[in-house]
Amino acid sequence: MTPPFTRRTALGALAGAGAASALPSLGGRALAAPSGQIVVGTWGGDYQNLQQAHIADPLMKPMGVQVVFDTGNDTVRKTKLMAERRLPRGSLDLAALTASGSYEMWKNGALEEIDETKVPNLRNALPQLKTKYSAPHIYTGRVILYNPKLVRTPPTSYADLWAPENAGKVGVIDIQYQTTIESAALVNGGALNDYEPGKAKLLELKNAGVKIYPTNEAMAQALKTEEVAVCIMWRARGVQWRAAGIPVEIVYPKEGVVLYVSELAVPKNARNKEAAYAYLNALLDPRPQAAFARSFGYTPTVANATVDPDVAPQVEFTPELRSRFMLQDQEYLAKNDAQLQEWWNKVFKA
Amino acid sequence: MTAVRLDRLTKLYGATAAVDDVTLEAREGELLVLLGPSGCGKTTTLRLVAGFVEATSGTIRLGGRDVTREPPYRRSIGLVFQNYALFPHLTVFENVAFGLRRRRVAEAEIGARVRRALGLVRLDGFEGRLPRQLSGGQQQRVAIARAVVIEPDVLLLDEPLSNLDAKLRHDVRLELRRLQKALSITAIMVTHDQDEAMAVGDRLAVMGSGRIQQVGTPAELYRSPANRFVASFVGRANFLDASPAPGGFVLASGLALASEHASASAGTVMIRPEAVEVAAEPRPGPNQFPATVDAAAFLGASWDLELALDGGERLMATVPAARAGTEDWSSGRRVFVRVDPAAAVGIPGSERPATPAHHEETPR
Amino acid sequence: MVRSGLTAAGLLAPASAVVAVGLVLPLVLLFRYSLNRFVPGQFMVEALTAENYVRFAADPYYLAILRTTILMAVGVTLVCLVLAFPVAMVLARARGRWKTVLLLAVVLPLFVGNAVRAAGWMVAFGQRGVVGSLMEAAQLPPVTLMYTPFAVFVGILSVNLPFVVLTLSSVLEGIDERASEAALSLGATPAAAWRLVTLPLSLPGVLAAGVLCFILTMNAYATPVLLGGPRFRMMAPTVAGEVLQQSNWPFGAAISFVLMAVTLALTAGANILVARRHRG
Repeated sequence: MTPPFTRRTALGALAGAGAASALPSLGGRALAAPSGQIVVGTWGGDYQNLQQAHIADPLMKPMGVQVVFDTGNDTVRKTKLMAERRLPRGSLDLAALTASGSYEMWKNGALEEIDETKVPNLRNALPQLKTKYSAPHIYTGRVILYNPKLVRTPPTSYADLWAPENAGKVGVIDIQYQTTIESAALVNGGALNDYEPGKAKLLELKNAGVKIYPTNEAMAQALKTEEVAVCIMWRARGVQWRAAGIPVEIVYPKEGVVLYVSELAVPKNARNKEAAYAYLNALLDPRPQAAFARSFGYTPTVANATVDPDVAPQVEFTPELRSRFMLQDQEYLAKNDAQLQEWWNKVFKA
Repeated sequence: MTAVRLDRLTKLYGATAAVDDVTLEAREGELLVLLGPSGCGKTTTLRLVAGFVEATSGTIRLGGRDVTREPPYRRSIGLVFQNYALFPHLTVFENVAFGLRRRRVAEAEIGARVRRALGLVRLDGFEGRLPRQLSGGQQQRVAIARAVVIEPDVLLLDEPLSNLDAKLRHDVRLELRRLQKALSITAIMVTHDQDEAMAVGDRLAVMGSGRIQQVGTPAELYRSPANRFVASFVGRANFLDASPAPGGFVLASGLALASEHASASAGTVMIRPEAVEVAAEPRPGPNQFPATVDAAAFLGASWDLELALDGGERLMATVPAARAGTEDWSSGRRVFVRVDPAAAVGIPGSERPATPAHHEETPR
Repeated sequence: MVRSGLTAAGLLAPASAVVAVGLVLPLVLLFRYSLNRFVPGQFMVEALTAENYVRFAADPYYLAILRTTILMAVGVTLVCLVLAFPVAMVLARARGRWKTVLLLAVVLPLFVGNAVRAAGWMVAFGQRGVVGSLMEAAQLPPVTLMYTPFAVFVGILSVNLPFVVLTLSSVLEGIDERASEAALSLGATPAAAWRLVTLPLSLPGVLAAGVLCFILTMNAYATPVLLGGPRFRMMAPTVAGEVLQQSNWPFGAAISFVLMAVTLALTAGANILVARRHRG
């Protein structure tokens, strides 16, 4: 689904890094120069490969920091952080988490408060995305994908998923239970701190013959074979899928654009915090940010990243869209996620 | 009356004939033994009769009925396997009752017949045992009871004694013989053991290379084997190269040997070791030859001697200890050998069993 | 005697230690977890409570998952045994090069992992998949196969079949062929000979293969997840869901203990039943 990450892009990035070897913003600022090894807990696949090619190799290695990736799912990572919470030394120096995940870890006292003086690039980060305990790495917004061949009237609102003409054409994704309930809540009198109205609305969708797919990838397949004509998805995925030839158009629902933010955070018991901060700073460097945008379809979190003009329309958000940005209520989710998932499994999927 | 008749029966495996044009009959109530070395086709013949192997050509008749194309379960046969092949999960009673139940015999009659069959093999009171609780000999008898209780047209015995130890084997074969006669059941038994074959068989059919070499009573086969293969398989024998001459043969060394069984086609003279008389002094009569004792072994009841005739021929001789008296047949001793002309039998020269190429040698 | 006993104990010690550390210890730990409490947002809170087990036993949702799993395991096991028996029979009776070829044909699928095979079935069962296209070509009405219990059934069946064939054939090889010949000679039709002799004699093998298949199905993970889709639930994926998605270790641990206990109980029950029949 993701545009292939080619050798050429990697080599290009390396060459670029070589030319700009001075790296003034990363160099001799901190008293204790970062060095040694850091362990970055992250999702695998392209997300890890791009970090290797655009951060670890060109930016960290010249600094003398060796990056080791601990690949896994974020739930595993959260469990690890929780289990190691009371140990003086943890196994991770950085953990890639969703916005909800890092909030949860912060609440449980597992994360370090970020020292902004050690991550100077944070000053360029979009204010909406910043937290005390993490650095926003990439983000995207939730949209509606539809197949124009099968859906005559382009949807404009999440409510259009319930339109009679779309009955039987809508698909939802099992692992996206939270955002699906949320989207339904937004068109049924709910809010980001009250998902309850979404449940009844979703049962209507169920009665209209909704199709449920286990993963994002399965949904992509279903869109490709035209089993499904409409779904709720992250824009970045929509961009990736369009590039892969899946016949979908992207629309921004009038209810607003709820954001997905992928963050990195430093555990309190990280072994090599200096290098971890240096990594966070490198993460926010405009060059890797631009590279992620090009290869991954997600949007840079820093204002000074310049995205190539050919990809800009797909990964950047216009000021008008930015004015409609919405952020999830992490406190509400931390308390309600288990309950929402249980409802999803027992009632919606039954 | 003929109970079993095989007519020109052939079984080919690829191009190889395991059973080659076999014509053979077992008469009502007789025990016919198929005797031969391993690979001679005797077991395949038995399995053809049982129906486990399909004939390539020829016919099999049981009690006058052509069963060549019938599956085993529609032939009326009782089969005793070398390893007994009892049903290990069933009691002795149920093993024996198995064939009766398949024939839907009434329950009361089953009980009576099973008990009678077990009585016959002297296993009264063993009904409730499982096969693994029995000795080898007892299992063997259950197998026999199981096979005979259904009163088959023919009882087939596949090397039934070879899994028993030597002493037991002797007892069981007498028992088997007694039982077969008592039931007057037609039986075909396969064995490679000539002693066993001669002890139990009414008639023997010697097989080699898939063909019947000779059929006859043990005495007939012993006295006048059709060929060297039969002669060597039924008892021990001396074979001397010879050419036919008036009234007998001329041996390779030039010695003249008088024989009552001269034949123009014979290239070999067969003399049984016990037909070779040995004496210290010459005696009157034909076929006297001076010889030297090469080796001698005293076996209690007899002496086994290896002799070299002065002409060069070598002979084995078995001399009853009683007749030898106190003679000491130590090696190197000079002796006189006499052969009864009735005991010198001319047979065709080939040592190999008859094959299709020598069709005329196969006796009928 | 004493000395050889000591030596034997000495030789057994490393293996026993590995079993203890590698098998027993995690189980003990898992059991301990299952008595803890889950508080959303705080993960596992130390406690000594049976509430996770009570929650499982009291909730029809989870009981339905257990029932689905047991039904699937029983169904797959029965069909597996029926399908595998003739194959195992042929394999057990085969000789020489032919046997090697057959054995290889049975073992070969095992070289491909579960998940990969399930992916293969996904290709077959998908809307535009092999089966769908064939049915379309045959002008048959379209049938939804993907994400159905039937797809899971077929998927697990294909995963377990080689194991069942191999287990059965190794036992069938030990059965004396002459015993069924004896039955034929006594007037039993081939079907009767099979029913009265071969089948009872192969019961220990049927049991062993059945237990293996049953346990494999009870614990199946990849196939139900990939072929069953989001709505189909079996025990092992539920455990994984609790642990990996909800981070609810205590409840996940409790479910895995329920799964283990039920599997053990049913297996032991089948053993006793067969042993009794076999003896009687």
